[in-house]
Amino acid sequence: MSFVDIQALRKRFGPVAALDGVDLTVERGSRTVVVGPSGCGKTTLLRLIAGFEAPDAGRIVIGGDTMAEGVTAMPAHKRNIGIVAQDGCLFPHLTVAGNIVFGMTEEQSVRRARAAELMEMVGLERSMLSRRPDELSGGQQQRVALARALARKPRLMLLDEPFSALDTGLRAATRKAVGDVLKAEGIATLLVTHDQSEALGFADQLAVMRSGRLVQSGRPRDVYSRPADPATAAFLGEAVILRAELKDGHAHCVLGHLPVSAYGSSAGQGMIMLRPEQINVAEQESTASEGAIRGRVVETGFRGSTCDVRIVLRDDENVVLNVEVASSMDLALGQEIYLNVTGEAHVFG
Amino acid sequence: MTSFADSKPLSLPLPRFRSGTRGTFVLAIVIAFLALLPLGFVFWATAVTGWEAASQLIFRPRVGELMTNTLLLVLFTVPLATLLATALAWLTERSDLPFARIWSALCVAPLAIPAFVHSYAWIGMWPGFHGLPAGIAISVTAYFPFLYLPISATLRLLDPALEDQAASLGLSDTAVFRRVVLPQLRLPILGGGLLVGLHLLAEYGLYAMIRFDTFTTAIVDQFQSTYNGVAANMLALVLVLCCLVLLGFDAGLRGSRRYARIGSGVARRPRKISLGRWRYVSVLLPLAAIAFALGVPAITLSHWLIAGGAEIWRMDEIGLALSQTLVICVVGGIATTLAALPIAWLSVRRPSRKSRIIEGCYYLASSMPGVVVALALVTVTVRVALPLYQTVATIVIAYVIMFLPRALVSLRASIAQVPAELEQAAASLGRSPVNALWSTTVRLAAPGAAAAVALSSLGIMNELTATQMLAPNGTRTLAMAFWALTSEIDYAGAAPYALLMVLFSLPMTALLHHQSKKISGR
Repeated sequence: MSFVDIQALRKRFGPVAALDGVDLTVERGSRTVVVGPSGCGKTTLLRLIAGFEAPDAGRIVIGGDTMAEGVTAMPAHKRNIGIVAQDGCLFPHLTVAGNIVFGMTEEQSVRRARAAELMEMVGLERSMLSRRPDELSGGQQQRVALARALARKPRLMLLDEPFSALDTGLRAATRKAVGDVLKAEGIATLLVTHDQSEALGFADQLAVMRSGRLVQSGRPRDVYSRPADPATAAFLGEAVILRAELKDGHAHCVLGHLPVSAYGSSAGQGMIMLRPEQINVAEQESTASEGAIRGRVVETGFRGSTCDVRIVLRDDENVVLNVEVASSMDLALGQEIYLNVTGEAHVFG
Repeated sequence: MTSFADSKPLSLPLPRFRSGTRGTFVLAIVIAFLALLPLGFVFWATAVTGWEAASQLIFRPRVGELMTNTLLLVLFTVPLATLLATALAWLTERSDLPFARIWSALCVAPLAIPAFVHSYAWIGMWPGFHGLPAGIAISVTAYFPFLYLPISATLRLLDPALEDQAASLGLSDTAVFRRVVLPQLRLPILGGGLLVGLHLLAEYGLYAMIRFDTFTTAIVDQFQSTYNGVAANMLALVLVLCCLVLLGFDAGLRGSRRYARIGSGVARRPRKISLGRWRYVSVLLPLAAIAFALGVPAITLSHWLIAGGAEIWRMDEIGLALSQTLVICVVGGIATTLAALPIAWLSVRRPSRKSRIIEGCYYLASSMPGVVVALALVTVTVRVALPLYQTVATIVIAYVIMFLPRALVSLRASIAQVPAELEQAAASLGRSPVNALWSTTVRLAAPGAAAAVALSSLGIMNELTATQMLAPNGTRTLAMAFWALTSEIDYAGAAPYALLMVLFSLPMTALLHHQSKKISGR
């Protein structure tokens, strides 16, 4: 049995079904990311696991202990689940030290030593222990919030978009620091976010939610390259979705005859997906591979090391592809180019 | 190529930037000096009396007795009122108490009843009730709304995420209340407690009616018997020192920390805690509080109004008192608002250390009891400006000193709502500074100014102590008439005056309730 086992979880707020039968498992010591657009129910899922709300139906079992079953739920303060909220949620009336030892029941000297130890663990100076939360930067506040949640050695750590309030540069650094600490402590972690790149980078297991349901879960790489449906494909990144005729393990489409992945290799009409990085662009026919498709550049957007290029196919101007090329390839508007596809096309089941 | 060689030199001298600011500052400082007159008077009077005479007047059994009374009154009333107000605020804001909205409005309503009408109502009901127990009981019922208002507003604003966070750190509901909610209620409790404490020190009518001696009642008695005696001045000194101790105590506890909500975005709406089987039992608390704070006055008033019949409605006298009261209220209210205008503008548009200090002076001055303000103005007019003695001008100055902060709060809020960019836009469209100010900020802040006039006017309407000591001969406001009639034990005759004061105060109370709801945006 998995460390966290959630079955058929349901929760309604008035007429809105925030969670409509969610099943999810989390392995011991692993990192799971629940990703989805705003309002998909991911925060509700987190609040039910934390015990801030009781579900309408379903089961939550953590480490063999039942946390909630049907409408009966164990109160939050008895669960020993740590949570770091979006804005850190530090107690404004306490110092950093007061915040960190808030949930500890050990004697004073133990608490003080542990607070210092935790500060080091999250990469903050001990001298900050006497500061007030409003004297810290956003990133520092998040680290203190993590230290506070770690102080009780929780069995599960919940992260509720804890990095989204931070600046771009700080976000990556804080995310790495938090991830490293949790990995070192061996604490299973559940992160919810609407940021797909954050999700892909952080997760051992990725779970995609939409409209109160869990659409797909699995290794980030698998979910990215073999999404369950076009909406999931588009949510996780740029996707080229085409109509194709499926025959003999190949897809016949406007980009030629492409090999398809093992999944859903049925025959007949179907939808396939390619990621833009599977499409190679060449300026000359001679440098392109055999069977290259001709296209024309209709829009370019300079992004520094790379360039976003919008291409239409010569044979069918209704097919528009957005690809990313190295900016060393200086493409002009209206320029004729040659396209090759590498790897397999993914067929939606 | 551009050249400046052919541009015309500026023919006009540049106007001194912020030229209006200095004049406004001078005005604000003059008003601050005026406001601090009573405080200055008390220390001047002590200096003139000399240490020996002063210590003889201060260190005597009578003063010790008054000190004990005052101390016991404050020490019992403030904690009891805080407990009651916190419990009521929690029940109405954070639990599933039945009819919580209605109870919340009813908990503010006692403010519409002047304190001395509360004690009139109590002794109408229980004629033998007097002394310290009566003082404490009536004070708690009359003044707990001062604590209920800020505490309930803060409870509505608290971020429930902090409480969730504390629960995830292993705290039970009661521990969460004690360690997270209560510490955040510190500021409203301190602010409300200070306000109640200052009222306890300054109130005359409430305690005189139930024959409970405090410094204020003793000073008024002294003033009425010997008029402007040294003894009264020395009692005033002790009273002022009590106020200063209270202010210092509050400042010390408050510290310099503000508990700002750190996060961004809109806080989740607080969760209502289910009272379960206590749900209907809990109604008993607001029911009991309201029964004493509104029920007792309502029963006594209607008893006297019915018993008195048509006879007590002597329309000529009531009409005269009403018109005199309205004139004094409107004149006083406008004067107070005008006096608050310079500092209100400065504190919003030119905030600085200087403007904060001046503002502090006004708050300090207004926390002086009415009896001290009156004593100071009587002495000053008699000694320095006799023609002003017992004139409308003097009493208006007293009102300005006492009620300026009420006008200031409203004015400042409304000026702050008008963006300074509007003034600049008007200036860029060719208006002169004064004209720009007039056509933008003044126009848009007008509703706030009207509220400022209303709030200070209604304070003036229920003011008894200073009005009695300073009013020109022949003046008889509603409060004075009410007081004179109850002193003659004509409780029935006093009832129409009490009713009128309550009716006129209701709009202010509704306004306060509405404002506290608006501040929290819900």
